[in-house]
Amino acid sequence: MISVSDLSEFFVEVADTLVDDFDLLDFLDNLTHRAAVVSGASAVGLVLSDRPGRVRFMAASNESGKMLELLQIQNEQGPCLDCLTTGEPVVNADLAHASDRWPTFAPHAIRAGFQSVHAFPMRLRTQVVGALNLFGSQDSRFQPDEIRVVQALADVATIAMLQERNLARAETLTEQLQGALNSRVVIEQAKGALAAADRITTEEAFELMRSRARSGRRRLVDVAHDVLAMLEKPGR
Amino acid sequence: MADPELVRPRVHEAVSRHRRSDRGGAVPTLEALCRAVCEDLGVIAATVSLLPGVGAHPVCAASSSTARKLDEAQFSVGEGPARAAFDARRPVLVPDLERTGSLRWPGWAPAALTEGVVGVYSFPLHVGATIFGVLTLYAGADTAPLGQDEVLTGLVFAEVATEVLLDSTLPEAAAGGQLEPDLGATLDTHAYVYQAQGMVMVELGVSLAEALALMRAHAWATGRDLTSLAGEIVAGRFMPPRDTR
Repeated sequence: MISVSDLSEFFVEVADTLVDDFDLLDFLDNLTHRAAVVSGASAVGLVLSDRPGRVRFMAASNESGKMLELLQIQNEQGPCLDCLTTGEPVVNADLAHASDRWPTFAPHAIRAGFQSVHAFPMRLRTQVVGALNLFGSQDSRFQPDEIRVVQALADVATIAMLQERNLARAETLTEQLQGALNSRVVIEQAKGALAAADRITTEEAFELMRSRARSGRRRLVDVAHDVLAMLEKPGR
Repeated sequence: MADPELVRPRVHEAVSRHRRSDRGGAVPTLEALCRAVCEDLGVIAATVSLLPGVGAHPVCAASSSTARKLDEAQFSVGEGPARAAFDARRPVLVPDLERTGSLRWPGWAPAALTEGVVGVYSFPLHVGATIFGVLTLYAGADTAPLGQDEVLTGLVFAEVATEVLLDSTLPEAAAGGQLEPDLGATLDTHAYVYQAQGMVMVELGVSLAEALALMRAHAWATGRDLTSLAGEIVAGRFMPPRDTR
């Protein structure tokens, strides 16, 4: 199920990204898209925990992935949250047989057309800082060696967070997470503003900003800032 | 580990207890907040500085005159933790000012060290693209080092300060000095609120900050939940009135 050629491409790209003008949010956004391609999952989502008991959505390969993450966060249940609590991966969970485990999340996910789910922890020393979720529209099962590969993708996400951190100081994780979380908010604000101004959906607005960021080789958050600056108080 | 849901009521209670004046507006509330955070975390001083250009005076509230002086010095020399937190749009946490801060801010750190400051913690007061200013906490020799719990408490104080500044963008809301509904815990999982904020900004032709303040005021006035209100806005079924009265 894991595509080796897509995987090598992924690692080449990762090595390419971990350079000076690295942006965590762009990186995680890209990682969810790549993880979907490599694993064949229908949707991939990533959450981070910025403080105990608080989970925040960070990136997804598509709107379904985002919806499934928010569903878990809002109902305080699901594979992602289990993974954050225990630090252990949740693999090959069949949603059809998971309504005891996740009474609200499982039926919702099935109605949205999903059958299987996997969650992998992002571990930083003793702390679990986030989780990577893969959702399948078929009852897809990972083999043990494939599980190690997907865990490696989650580990790469964690390594990315170390990128601009000084390990000697525990506080910098808070600094970095808070920065990335605020960037996420900027992007949501810009999605809403652009959708209202151009009479398009928020998903279309997001895709528009993503392609602008790509073609201009700019950070997504910078494009979002520009959108807001342009649309705030027009004509003044 | 501190539960942020429990910290928040404590912060609200401490801010109202430290209020010394019945005057409306953001400044008396923020001054109370500075005194409250000093008591809660045992720091020697706290300040809320607004951005240069936003207000005539960069420092809008301070727990002491020394704190105000230290904060103002950052703006005159053009460096320091508050400046850095504003520029980077993320908290700047420096527990050991002498070791780390002196290299980073050679023009500002010596003055702070002379005043007995041992560590500094600056939190931006922002919601996405809107940034109002910075909350800075000054730790002294007797202050226990701020660990993860204390930093999280600092973040909650910063969230509350942001809400005060956000609501003060609406003249009528400023008079009441209301602190509800919370922006912290309810909002962060709900991307809709921020999308709706962007939509309201465009549809009503108001600033980004005013858009969220209007949504909060409308939710408060009608007893509605901010998240569900935002959901209606994003779905195109509702737009709050420009005038909240």
